[in-house]
Amino acid sequence: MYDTIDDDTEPDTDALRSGLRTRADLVTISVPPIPAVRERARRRRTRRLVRALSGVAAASAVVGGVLVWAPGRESDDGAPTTTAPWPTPSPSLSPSSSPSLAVSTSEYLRAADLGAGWTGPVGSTTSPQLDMGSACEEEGVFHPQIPVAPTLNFRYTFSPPGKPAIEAFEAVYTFAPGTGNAVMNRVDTALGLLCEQAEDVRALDTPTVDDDSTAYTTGGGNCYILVRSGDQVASVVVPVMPSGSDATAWIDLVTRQMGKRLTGG
Amino acid sequence: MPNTQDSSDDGFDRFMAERWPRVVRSAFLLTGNQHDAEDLAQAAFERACAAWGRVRRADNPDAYLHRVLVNCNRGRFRTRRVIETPVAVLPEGLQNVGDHSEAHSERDALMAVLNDLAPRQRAVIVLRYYEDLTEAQTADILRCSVGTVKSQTSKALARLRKNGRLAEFAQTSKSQKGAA
Repeated sequence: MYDTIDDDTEPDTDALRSGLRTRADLVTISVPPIPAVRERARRRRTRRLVRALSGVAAASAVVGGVLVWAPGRESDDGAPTTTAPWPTPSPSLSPSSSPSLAVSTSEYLRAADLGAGWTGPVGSTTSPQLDMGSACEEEGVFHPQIPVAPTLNFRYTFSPPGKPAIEAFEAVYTFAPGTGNAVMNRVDTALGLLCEQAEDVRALDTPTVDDDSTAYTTGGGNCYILVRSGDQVASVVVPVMPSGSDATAWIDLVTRQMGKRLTGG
Repeated sequence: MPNTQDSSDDGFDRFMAERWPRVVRSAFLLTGNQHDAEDLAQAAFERACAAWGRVRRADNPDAYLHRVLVNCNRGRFRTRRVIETPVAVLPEGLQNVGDHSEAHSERDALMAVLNDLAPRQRAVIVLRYYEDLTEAQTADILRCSVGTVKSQTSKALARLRKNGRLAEFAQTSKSQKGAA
């Protein structure tokens, strides 16, 4: 498995080494329970998905009550737009180097961007931190990155006739000046360390509209798309992503729209 | 991006079958009894299976497996430490569940030696002296510095030497070699 070592040749550590092997060799080895392990792994992925969805739904129910609908403001497709429920500093009071708050980018993605049939935003919840999922924290490979302002998540839904509904949660995180790149590096590092059970990680090629972006799917079909521009990181999570070429096309489309909205391009 | 983790020809079966014996043995040294060892090994493989898409593309899947094994054991100990108290001599039969080695007291002494150690120190000992990993490899698995591995190893060995069990075990081992 690994390269062996020859250090620690003290008599007692040699005896310890020998004893450990002798003792371990006496253990009765059963047949590896591969089917049972596979089944438990499948349930584990399902549990994590359900936990993620129920958490977002519960938070949406609580926070949704304070969602402020802006009368008279309509997006291009007629869907109402939203504003953040907390006071935001006016530009004149903010130093030029301060990042803008979430309210300025909360409508970076619109239902119309996602294609015909999508509706939203539907409800919202706040995100205190960039979340990659509980597995990352359990493994200790990703420490949540804290934005400098609360960030709203908005939910969009797509319910094609005869097919399961698809939901997408979008948010834009604003990090401290000069730290956006480091945040994405930490995300990539976490993915490289098996965080969040990512199955497929893509460095997306959209250089004209954003600084860098990545997408990854996880066990159970969750799909995360992260796009960074400067110190802002846009995130879309699709809890149940359809498989196949539809998913690839959808990810490319959404990534382009995310980058476009982020940069105003 | 289809979810292919449950396909039967993704290589996980072979991966698990090949590593199962050694992982169970390592788990036994970490836990002290066979039932817990098998549970721990299953938990580690379960996580590896759930993340199989990434594990199989990793540079060192074995390192991942060891890391999960140690982390799972640490979590297991956290949940049970209230009721687990290290003792000088293990209760009769406790240390031999399932492996039919009642007659070998020196083996009992060895398990008692390990049970005296804190979980992290036990992990260091098992990784360094059973798995024969380097300090750097052990540090990578435990997600700590090489210096921490050195100090943990030193403390663990000092603890074993202090209570005399390591010397006693070394003497027993030496006697057995001489007799042979």
